[in-house]
Amino acid sequence: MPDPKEQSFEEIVGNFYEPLYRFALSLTQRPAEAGDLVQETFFLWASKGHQLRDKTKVKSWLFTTLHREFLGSRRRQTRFPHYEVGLVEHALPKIEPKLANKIDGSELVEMIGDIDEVYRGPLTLFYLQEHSYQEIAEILKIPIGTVMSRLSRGKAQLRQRIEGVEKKIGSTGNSSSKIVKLGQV
Amino acid sequence: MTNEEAKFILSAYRPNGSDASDPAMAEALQQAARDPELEAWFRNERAFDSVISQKLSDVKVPVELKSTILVGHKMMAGTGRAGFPWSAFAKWAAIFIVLVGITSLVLFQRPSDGHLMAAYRSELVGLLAKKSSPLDYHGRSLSDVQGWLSKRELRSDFAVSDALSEQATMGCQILDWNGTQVTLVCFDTSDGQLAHLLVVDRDDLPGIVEPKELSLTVEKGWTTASWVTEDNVYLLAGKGDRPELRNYL
Repeated sequence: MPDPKEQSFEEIVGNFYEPLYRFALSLTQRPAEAGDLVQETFFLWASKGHQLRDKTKVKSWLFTTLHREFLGSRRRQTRFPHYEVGLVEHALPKIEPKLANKIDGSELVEMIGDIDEVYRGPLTLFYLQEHSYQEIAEILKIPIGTVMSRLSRGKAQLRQRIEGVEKKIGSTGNSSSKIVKLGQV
Repeated sequence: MTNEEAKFILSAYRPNGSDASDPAMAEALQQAARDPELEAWFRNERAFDSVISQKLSDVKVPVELKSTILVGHKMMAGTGRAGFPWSAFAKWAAIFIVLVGITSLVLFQRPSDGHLMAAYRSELVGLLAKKSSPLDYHGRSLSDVQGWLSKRELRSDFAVSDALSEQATMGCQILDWNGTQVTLVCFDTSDGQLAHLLVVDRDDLPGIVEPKELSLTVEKGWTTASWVTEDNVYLLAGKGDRPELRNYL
């Protein structure tokens, strides 16, 4: 990747539009809205990006802006519930990686959409692997401990969703289209 | 540090190893190297996380997204608006003008319910004509679509005829109409025609009353039927003629 200080608008778009879209999709669950959010983010970068002094922070700026725009679009909806920061139970369903391997990307996004909204942002940023937990805290404007807590709880909910699919396969066989699809992967 | 504390910290360890040099992770990593139970847990956790990361990176991004962004940027640069956010200014100016226009309409014209419905119908048909973005959800039946909408706490309690509800669907999309959420359901009807059902919360359309009879009109090449229930305002639009559309009412 070229020096961030030297990157053109086109290079910045090329470097980040895909992870930004995946992040937006996990938040909105709607492709059209996700695309709009990404476009709006780059529009804001074109308008205000020159104000960013530290050009090594372009990536964080883009993700922070996209998240802020998403929250803005959701401001009329239910406020996020408050969650206490703390250790979480790790006696959770132990999901074998090979089971997770049976789902495809779109099903994963759908499952992320099923988990509590407050966990989606941290979880998706973590799995995109573009940011450390400290950077995730900066992007989402939450304490580091809260990031870790939400990651643990979010992963637990994701595991439960995957385990639920496995149980469904076991109890109903390959009758529904979704289960057939899972079985084919 | 207990194993539970180590697990809590290691939950934030990226599977590609990017956090290996993070001092805060060091103690937890050392503990995992010493403790077989923790080490097994961490190995499984990383393998699971690695698979999920891979799946997420497999999610397809719309092919036109990058070019759309770049074209938009070139247009903006071409009009000399790159420095000052003229587009944002223009957007707010446009919103202001529209608001003034609407306020004037409400204050001075006070259109009848029929006019309101006609205006609403005309705008939504225009929305259909302009629609180019992909569906938010692909599903083959109305119950699938309703399930998807319900799961996202979106409007899903549709009052449609049995004839329409039995038709296959292509999916749905949530549209934004001047800040009002419109639910669009696309039907792939048995006679080979596409039909679009648009649903708006009645509270978002103040002044609309239930018409005495079902209204069928032809507008911009679409045959439309509109009706109102206690909760929602509906518009069904199809390319067929009035008798064909009536089959689904």
